[in-house]
Amino acid sequence: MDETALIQAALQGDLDAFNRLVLAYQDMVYTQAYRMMGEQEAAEDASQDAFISAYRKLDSYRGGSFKAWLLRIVTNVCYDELRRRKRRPTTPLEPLDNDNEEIESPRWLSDPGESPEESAERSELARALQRCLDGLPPEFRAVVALVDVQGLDYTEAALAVGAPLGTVKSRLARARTRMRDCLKGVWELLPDSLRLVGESDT
Amino acid sequence: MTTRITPPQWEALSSYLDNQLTPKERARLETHLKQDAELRQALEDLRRTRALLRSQPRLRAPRNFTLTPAMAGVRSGARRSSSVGAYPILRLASVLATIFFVLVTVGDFAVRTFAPPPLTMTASEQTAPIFGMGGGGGGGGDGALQPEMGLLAPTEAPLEAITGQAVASPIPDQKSLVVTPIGTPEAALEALVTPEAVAQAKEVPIQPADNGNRQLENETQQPAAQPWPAHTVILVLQILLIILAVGAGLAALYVRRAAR
Repeated sequence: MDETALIQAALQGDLDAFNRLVLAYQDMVYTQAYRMMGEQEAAEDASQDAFISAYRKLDSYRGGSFKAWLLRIVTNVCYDELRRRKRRPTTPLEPLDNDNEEIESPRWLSDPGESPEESAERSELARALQRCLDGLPPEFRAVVALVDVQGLDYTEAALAVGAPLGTVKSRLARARTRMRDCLKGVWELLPDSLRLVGESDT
Repeated sequence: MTTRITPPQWEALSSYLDNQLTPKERARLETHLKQDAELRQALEDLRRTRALLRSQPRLRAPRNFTLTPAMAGVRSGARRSSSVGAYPILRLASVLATIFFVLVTVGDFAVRTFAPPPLTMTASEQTAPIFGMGGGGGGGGDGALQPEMGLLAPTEAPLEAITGQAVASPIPDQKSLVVTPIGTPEAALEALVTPEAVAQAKEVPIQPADNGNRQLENETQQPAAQPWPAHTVILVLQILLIILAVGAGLAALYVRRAAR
């Protein structure tokens, strides 16, 4: 059954159909939530809330990119939670500890061809990357996660954050610039393939 | 190193990497890149950053986020609609109970206010049944059993006249007539809306001191069938109505909140 048919069935109250959509998109939604929240537990909560919200609001989906629609929902859930935490700053999270746990999980190191050294480098790099992402304002983080992590194009990203295309462009540029500054100290950790990245990457 | 590059230039570099520049913008930027080593370095930095971000694998969800029927139902489905259906009913129940409570209370108060002297008097003569405003039926019955007090009123007429059950009590004097059988508030209310009962009450040979106010009290119900003193009945009724009003009100609130 294709996506449109599943959405139609879910609109008729077919929960199984909706859950097939959940299974198809849960990695994407969880990844976005993790990049936004910076830790696993909050990302799980945000993902679950996002799917519940999506089921409730399914009739407001007006066609187009379902992926962008879902990413918008999870991004908004994360915004809300981050705002709530800002209002009640009693639960500041030092991302390092949680990241350690998360990054060293087998799921993260799922590349079977990696040597232990490569794994260690990779996890350190990934940790640094997430720490830099965490340092961005949420609006920048959302855009860079949508475009560079999720691979959305600018139009989809604009849909997903509910902002004009120009805003997406400038937020993305500023996010990348900040990431570049933040990552300066860890370039040596980059694998050769990335360090020598050239024209072919674009 | 970054100081010379302006935000618009960073934006152009970023968009350039994504092939999002118009041909004109692209040509202009490429011209600048040829002339400016710093700009080329900035572009290279951005390219690496972007490549690093894009090299990160998509994370695997640590568990499934499929919805259970409870998750789906609690927040959107049948339960919400049923709750929404129950809300107006509970609200109406609460409002009606409140209205009846006010009616009963006001009615009770009015009867007590208008009737106190005879009440006390007849109470001394006939005790319980007479005092009975609600269970006042007893009043009629007892009254009928007291011919020695002066059968001023032939009981037959009122008996037939008033609903068959009501008994116009034979009362020794006007005072006691006024007092004797006092109906329940409900009966009083009925009398208020049934003029014929009023008219019939007037037919009682005894001269009612104050027809307008009292004839409803002449009605009695089921003589001796009601063992409870009227004020107790009213009190119980008031308590029940209050419980109903508050209970239905709270239930309505709860249902409404749960539906959100």
